[in-house]
Amino acid sequence: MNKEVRSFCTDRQTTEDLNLLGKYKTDSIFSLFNRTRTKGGEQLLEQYFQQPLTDATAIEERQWNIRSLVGKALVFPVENKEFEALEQYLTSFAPVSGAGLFTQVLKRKSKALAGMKEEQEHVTSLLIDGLKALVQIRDWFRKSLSGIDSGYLQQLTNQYRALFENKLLDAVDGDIANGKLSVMQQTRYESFLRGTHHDELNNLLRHCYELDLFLGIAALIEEKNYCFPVINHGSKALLRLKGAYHPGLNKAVGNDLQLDARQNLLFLTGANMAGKSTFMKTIGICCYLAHMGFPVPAIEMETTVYDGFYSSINLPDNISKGYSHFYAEVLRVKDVATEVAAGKKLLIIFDELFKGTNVKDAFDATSGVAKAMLDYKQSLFVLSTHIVEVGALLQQEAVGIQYKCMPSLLEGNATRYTYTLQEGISDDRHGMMIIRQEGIFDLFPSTKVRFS
Amino acid sequence: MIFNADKQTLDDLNIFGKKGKDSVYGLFNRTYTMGGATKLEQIFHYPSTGAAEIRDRSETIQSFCRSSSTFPLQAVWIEVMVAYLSDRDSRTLLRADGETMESKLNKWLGVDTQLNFTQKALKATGECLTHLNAFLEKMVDNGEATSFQKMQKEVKDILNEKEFKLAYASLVEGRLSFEQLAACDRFFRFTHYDQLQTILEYIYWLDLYISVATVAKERKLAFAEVLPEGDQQLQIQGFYHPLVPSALGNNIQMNTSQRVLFLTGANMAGKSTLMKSLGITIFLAHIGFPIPAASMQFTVNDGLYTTINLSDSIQMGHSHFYAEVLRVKKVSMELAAGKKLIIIFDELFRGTNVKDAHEATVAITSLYAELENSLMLVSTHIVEAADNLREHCRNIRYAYMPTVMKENQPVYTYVLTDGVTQDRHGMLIIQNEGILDILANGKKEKIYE
Repeated sequence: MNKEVRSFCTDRQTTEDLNLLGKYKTDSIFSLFNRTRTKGGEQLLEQYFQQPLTDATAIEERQWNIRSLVGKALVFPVENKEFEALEQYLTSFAPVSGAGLFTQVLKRKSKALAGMKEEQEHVTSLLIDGLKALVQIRDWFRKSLSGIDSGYLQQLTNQYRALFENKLLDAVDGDIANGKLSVMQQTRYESFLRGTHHDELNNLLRHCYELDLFLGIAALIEEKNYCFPVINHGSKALLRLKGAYHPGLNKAVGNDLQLDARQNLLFLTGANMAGKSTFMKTIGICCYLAHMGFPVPAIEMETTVYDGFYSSINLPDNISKGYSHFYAEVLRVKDVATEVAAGKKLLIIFDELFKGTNVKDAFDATSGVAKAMLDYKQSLFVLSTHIVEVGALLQQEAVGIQYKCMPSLLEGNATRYTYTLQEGISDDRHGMMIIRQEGIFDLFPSTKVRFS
Repeated sequence: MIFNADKQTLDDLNIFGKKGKDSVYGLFNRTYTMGGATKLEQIFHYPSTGAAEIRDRSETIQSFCRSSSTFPLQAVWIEVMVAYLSDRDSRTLLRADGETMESKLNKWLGVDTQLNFTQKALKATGECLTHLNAFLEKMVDNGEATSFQKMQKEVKDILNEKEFKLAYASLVEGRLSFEQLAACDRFFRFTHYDQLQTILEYIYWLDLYISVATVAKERKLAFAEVLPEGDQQLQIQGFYHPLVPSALGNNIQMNTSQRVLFLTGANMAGKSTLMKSLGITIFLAHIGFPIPAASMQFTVNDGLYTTINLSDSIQMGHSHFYAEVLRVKKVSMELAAGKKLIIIFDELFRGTNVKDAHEATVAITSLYAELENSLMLVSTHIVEAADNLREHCRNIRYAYMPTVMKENQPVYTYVLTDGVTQDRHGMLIIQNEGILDILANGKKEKIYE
C-alpha cells in the first residue's frame, strides 16, 4: 500500500471528464500529444498518461529533457519496419553464450539446406533489418545528435558512444549488401546482439522510444503556444495560470487564475453556454499535463505538486446499481471528501454540484460542502453552480473564496459570450432567450404562447 | 410506417443496452438461430408499426403463448444449411458423370472434403425439413388470418408437395448412393433453392415468435389492446420496469382531457424508473410485443421521444442546457409536422438556473398541453411550476412518487399518487452518507496568520 501513496491519485470519472485518454478518439488529449513514430513510443506515452508524477524533481527533469529538444528540428530517423525488426529480434531471442549460438546458427542453416527454410529466412530478415536500424541510429547519434547543445542529448550520446564505436558495426553495410549472411557472419552479429551487448541494446531501445516521444512533443510546442509550468517547491498549495485555454478548441480565449492557501476555493458562476465547464476542464487538463512534466496550453503556469486530482463534470446516473443522478453525485462527493479528509494535497473540480435535486437541497448542500472544504488549505477547489444565492451566503459567512464569473453580454436580441473571466458573481440568465432564438415557439403559430 | 424512436430514446430506455449489461432486447432474445436474433434486432431498430401490423404480430405471439410450442429444430442443422446454401457456384455441384479413378479412391478413403460436407449438409437439411413437417402436422389451423399463418400455409404446401417430400424423406433414410446424393444436391441447392429460402425465413420467424412467447409466459407479460383510430388515448394498468426485480406496478391514463402528467417527487423516489418503465411499455406495445403491465389500451402513435440521460457535447460546443433545448426543438418540429407523439422528459432544463428552468418548464409544458397530437410525461424538481400551470391549463394531471419517513430514514412506496409533493430529503441523504462529518474531522491544514 505504501507504493500507492506515491502514485498520483485520480480515477476514471476524472479522466473521462477531461477526455484525457483514448488512443482511438481523435479529440482526446492523448491523441493531441501522440506524434510518435514507434509503437514503443506510443506505449510509453500511454504509461505517462496513466501515471503522472508526484515528485517535483522528476517532473522538472522530464521538462528539462523535452525543453532541450525544442527548436532543434530533429526527426526520429528509422523506418518503422526496420525499427520493429530490431525490437522483435531483441525481445524474442534470449541471451545466449558463444558456443551455444554457433550450434543454433548451424542447425538453422542445415535445416534450410534440407528444405525447411522458413526459420532461417525469418531470422535472417529480422537480423538484416535490425542491423540496418542499428546502423542508422548510430549514424544519427554521431552526426545529428552529438553536435546539438542539449544536456539531455549529450548525456545520451555519451552513454552509447562506446557501444557505437564497436568495429563490428562498421562492417554491417558491406556484409548485408546482398541480403545474405554466412554462418560466421551470422554468428558474429547474433552474438553481438544477443550476447555481449544484449542489455545495453535494450536500454538503447528504451531511450529511443523516449526520444521519439519527446521529439513529438517538442514539435508540438513549436506549432502551438504551449509553455512549461514552473514547479513550485513550497509546502503551501499554489496554482497560477496565465492565458490558459482548452487545447481541443481552435479559437479558445486564454484566462488567468490564481489559487493558493489564502484563497483555495474558486466560486464560478455564469449563464449557460458562457464557458464555465470548458474553463474548468482547462484547469484540469493543465494541471494533469503539468504533473506529467509536459507543456501546457497556457502562456504561463506555476504550480505546486499535488497528490491527486478529482473532477465531477459529466456524472451519469447508474440505474443498474439503483442510483439516481442525485445519489450518484452524493456518492461522488463522499468519495472525494474521504480523500480530502485523509489530508492529501488535492485539486478538486466540481461542475454544478447537486444539479440533480431541488433548489433548496442543492443550496444547503452546496454551501455546506463548500464551507467544510475551505478548511483544507492544502488542497484547492473549483466549484461552479447555477445557484447564485449560495455565493451571497458564502460572501457573508466565509473567507478564503475567490468569486469569478463567465460573463455574457446582451447585444440587441442576441447574446455574446466573451469567455473571459471576471470578478464577482454573475446572475446572468438567458435560458428563455436561447429557447426563443431556436424558434421553438414559432413552430406553433396558432397557439397562444404565454410566457414571451 | 416506422415508429419513431431515435437513438437517445433507445439509449434512455436501455432497449439494446451496453455490452454485457441487461437490456430489453436481451430480455426477449431466447432465439436459437442467428437469423431469429437478427429479425428481433431489426424489429427493435426499425419498429414498423400501424394498428393492423400491431394486431397481427400480437395475435401471432398470443397464439404461441396458448400453444406453448417449443422450437422443434436443432440450431446446428440450420447453421449447416445456411452455410451449404450460401455457395451457389454451379461448378461445386456433385457430378455423377466423368468420375476418374482418383476421385473414386478419394471418395472411398473419405478424404473428399467437398463430398463430406455436402453429405453432412444434406443430412441436416433432411432432418430439419422432416422435423419441421412433423411439427406443422401437429399445428392446428385455427382459422387466424395473420401474416404468419399465411407464411405457415405456404411452407406447409411446399413441404407436402410430392416431389419435395420424397426428396427430403430420402435424405434421412440411411446411406445414399453417390448418384442419389448428387441428385439431391442439385435439387435443394439449385432447382428448389427459392423454396428452401422461404422455409428458412419461416423458421427464423418461428424461432423469434416462440422465443418472445416463452418470455411472455415465463414473466406473465400481457398484451396491449389497440383502440380504433381517433383522439389519442393511453391507459395502462400495473406497468413496471421489466429489468428491475420485484418492481411495483402503476396505473396511468392519458387522453384529450389529460394530455400531460406532471410528476414530482424526492430524489430516489423512483421518478426516472417510472418514466423508463412507461417508455419501455409504450415502445413494446407499438411493435405488438408483450408488455410488462397488467393490461393496456392505446391508440397508435407515430413516435416516442424520451429525454432522461442527456449528456453535453463539448465537441459540438453544446452545453448541457443547449443540448436539452435542441432536443426540445427536435420534438417540437415533429409535433409541428403533425406527428402523434408520446413525450417523456425527465427533469427538463436541469442544466440551467432555477428561474430559467422554471419559466422554460412552464412554457414548454403548457405549449405541449395545448397541442392536439401529444401526450407528455414531464418530471421536475421545481414544484412551483405546478402553480403556474394550474392557472393556465386544465388538461394536466399532477402526480408524485411519495416518500415516507421512518425513524429518520426515507422509505419509498413507488406508488404513483395524485398531487404535487414538496418532499425533499437531499440534505438527509447527504447527512446519512456522513459527508459533512468526514470533512469536519479530517486532517486540515489551516493557515495561521
